[in-house]
Amino acid sequence: MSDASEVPEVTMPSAQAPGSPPERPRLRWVVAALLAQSLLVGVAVAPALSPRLTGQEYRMRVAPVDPIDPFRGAYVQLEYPGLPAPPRDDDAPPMGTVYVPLAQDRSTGLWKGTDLRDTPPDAAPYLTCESDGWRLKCGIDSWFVPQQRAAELERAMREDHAVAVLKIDSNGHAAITDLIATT
Amino acid sequence: MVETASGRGTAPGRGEPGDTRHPVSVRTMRWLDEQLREWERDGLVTGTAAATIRSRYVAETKVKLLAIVTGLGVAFVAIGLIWLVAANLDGLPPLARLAAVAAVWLGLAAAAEVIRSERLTAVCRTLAAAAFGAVIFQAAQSLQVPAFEPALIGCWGLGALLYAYATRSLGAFAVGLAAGIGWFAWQIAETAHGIAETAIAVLCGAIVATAVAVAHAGRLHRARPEFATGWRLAGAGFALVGLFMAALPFGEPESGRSPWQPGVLWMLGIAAATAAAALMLAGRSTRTAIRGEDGRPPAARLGWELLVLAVILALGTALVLWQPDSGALENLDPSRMTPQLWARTTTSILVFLAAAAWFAMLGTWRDAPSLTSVALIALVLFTTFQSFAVFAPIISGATLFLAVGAVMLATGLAAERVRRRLTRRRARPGKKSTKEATS
Repeated sequence: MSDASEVPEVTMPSAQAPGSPPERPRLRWVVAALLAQSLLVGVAVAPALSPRLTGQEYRMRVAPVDPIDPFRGAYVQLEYPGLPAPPRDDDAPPMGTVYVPLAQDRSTGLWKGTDLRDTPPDAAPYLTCESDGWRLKCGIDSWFVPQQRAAELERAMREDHAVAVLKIDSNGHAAITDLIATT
Repeated sequence: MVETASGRGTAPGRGEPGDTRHPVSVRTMRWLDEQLREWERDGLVTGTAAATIRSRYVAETKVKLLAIVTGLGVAFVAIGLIWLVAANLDGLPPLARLAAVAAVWLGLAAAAEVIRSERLTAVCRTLAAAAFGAVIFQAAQSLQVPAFEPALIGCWGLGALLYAYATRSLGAFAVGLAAGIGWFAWQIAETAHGIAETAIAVLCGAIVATAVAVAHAGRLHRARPEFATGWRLAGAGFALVGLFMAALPFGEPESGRSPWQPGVLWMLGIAAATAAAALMLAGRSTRTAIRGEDGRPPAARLGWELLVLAVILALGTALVLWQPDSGALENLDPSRMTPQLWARTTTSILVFLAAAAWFAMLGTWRDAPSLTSVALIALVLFTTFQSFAVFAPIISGATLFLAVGAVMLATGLAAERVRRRLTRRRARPGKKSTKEATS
């Protein structure tokens, strides 16, 4: 008699009569799953939807993060010279959500950040960002660009002539809607 | 049509309508033939009965290669679809691109419900789960959602899992679970600071994954037992990775930063709540089930899995918080190995060994050989790492391998002896009750 430990596995169709076709899932469950997935698409892009639908338009100067090779693949990483960097001292706001009030430079018409706060300012516009102690992430840090426009934008950004067009809603959530080269 | 094994008439061939034979591997068929000959020789079955039993099974020859090629094909198409999105083709406006990708996704999902071929349906469902990811990434790209957002992967994983459970598709489940694991690892890497926080968070993830596996009791488990195995694999993987990190002697908490950050406390709360909910769900699903061999209801045995994970979490947390001076190891200075450092290092090895042994045993208990394999591979990797990264300045890695190997041999032989005794004891209940009846 062979050892019980050598009994090979027998794979059986689960919960079905032998030879019957596999049980098909009920269509309503499949439709419900597809609807739930559609909702999840909305959830995934929600941070960018709200400012696009309800936000006001503002323009800020923008620079590439990597001036040597600003384009990685199909998007460019952006930084905003007009936004303050998190200060690295004991008085710095704690890591986490921070708020950046914006003020307009009358000579250029562009907007820039004034300071960092850990409570929302009383008046708009302001940006709601996440700070990790090293940099701010405000949801406007990258721009997906078709290859044809890449060279033109790259030249403009190196010469400091690129401007990001943002939409910011009343809660400080921002979305970048365009990146344009100015002369 | 083919002639039956008993020689009486014909039966449908494999795959033909009316074919009621179960497919088994060639090895299994050979074992069955052997057993039937023995039973016939011992007079347990007649020749006719043996032929009837044998005719219920058919050995299926190697479609394994075809399955591998098909699987690879599915994986390549899925990756290609997502890559196409990442390429940011400008031939179409962003919204048109989104509509096109969504059409591919819904088309695959609809095809899966219409096609009657089981294999093609499985392929379509797997591709639909992958295409859902492409829809999310395309939507994010069209709306300029910042690159490298873990939430996108999380939404993909959740959606794919919902679809998998609705359709009971193993392929879609694999896509969803992989995306979910990727999201979890990325999220932890982004938010946790230091090894202590990361290890505790990962160990909490192990409890959540195992709790989901435990919740797969009753009808859901019978419909797709592989789902529970997948969750158990994820739980085991997280537990072993968490212990691996906790065992590192190099990580010290960032100065002035307690590991008990709000994120970690939330994770602990979620782990506890998920475990409690899973036990309630499992208990309700198996309330009318036949009691286990040992007389206890199945839910009680499922509770052991979560209890062990809780112990692993506690031990891992204790290890990360126990950080004697590790300067001896950092500076390769064996003369500075303090008794505390020896104690910690030895304890961490024993804890990892015990955890790996538990998961190896669980793999056998739950009929999940992949779980056993993962545990053993993790043990080899851990021992190798400890040899070269930790013990190299002190003793040779070979000595550590010898020590761990000796412990495992002794444990394995002792466990086998206990198993044989238990098997013999279980084989005697009839004799025992007869004795009691006559005494």
